[in-house]
Amino acid sequence: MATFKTILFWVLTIGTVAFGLVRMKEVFSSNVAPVAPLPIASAVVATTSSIPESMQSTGTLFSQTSRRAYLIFPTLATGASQALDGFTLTTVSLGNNTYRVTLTPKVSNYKTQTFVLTGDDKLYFTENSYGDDNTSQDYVYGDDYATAVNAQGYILK
Amino acid sequence: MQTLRSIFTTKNVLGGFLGFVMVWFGINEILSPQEWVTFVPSFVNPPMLATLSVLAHGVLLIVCGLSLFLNYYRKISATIVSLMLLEIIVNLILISGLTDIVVRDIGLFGSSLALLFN
Repeated sequence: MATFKTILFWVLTIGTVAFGLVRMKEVFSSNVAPVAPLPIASAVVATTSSIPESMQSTGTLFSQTSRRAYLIFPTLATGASQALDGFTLTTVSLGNNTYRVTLTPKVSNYKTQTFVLTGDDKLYFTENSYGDDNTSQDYVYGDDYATAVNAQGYILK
Repeated sequence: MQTLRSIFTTKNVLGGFLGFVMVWFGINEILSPQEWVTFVPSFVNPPMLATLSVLAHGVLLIVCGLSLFLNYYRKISATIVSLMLLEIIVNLILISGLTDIVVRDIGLFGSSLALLFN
């Protein structure tokens, strides 16, 4: 009995380690990072010409502040839809290359986030603990927020 | 009845169920590491390394889970699981405070300690 248990344990352990190594190789070969690529910072100081009236550059580079962010505007990055579990994303064109992006939580006691962006701006959604969310609900809303970033990679406020 | 009692001892039931939980989470981490990288401490950079550490964590969870389930070097795996759960609890508290998920993990941590000190 002890021998059978030992053999079973080691067979399953070796199988698990082998499978883990295969998955690691897949991650390396696909080179898919879980974080959406952040904008490359330009040496030029951000100009305000492309920033809508309601949003101003804070002078802080987004790439220096967050690594768990998913691009949700103008396009949806890989993994972003899952990170957005618990929120409804709405994009409305206001004309003149300006858009209003709204993140509406599926529970009523959490704040709706609205951004007015130009087509050159980007919006990133940070979800710190979506491993505990299921496919239709977010259990921890307090760690979810969106950050608007201009074309130069600076955070807008 | 006596045979059943000898099989379903406290240690076996605790080890079996805790082992099942560890194996389940380990499989999830290996199959969908992108869902778990958010729990990796921020000093682990670049993101690729975070993904690899999730995969390694998943493998360790499965091996420890099997060990608990099969009662094979159970004390050693209970020690490793206790340390991993403690790390997870501290990390979760730092990320999102004392949530229901943290409370659940504290219960699992207690189970692993029971196995360790039994």
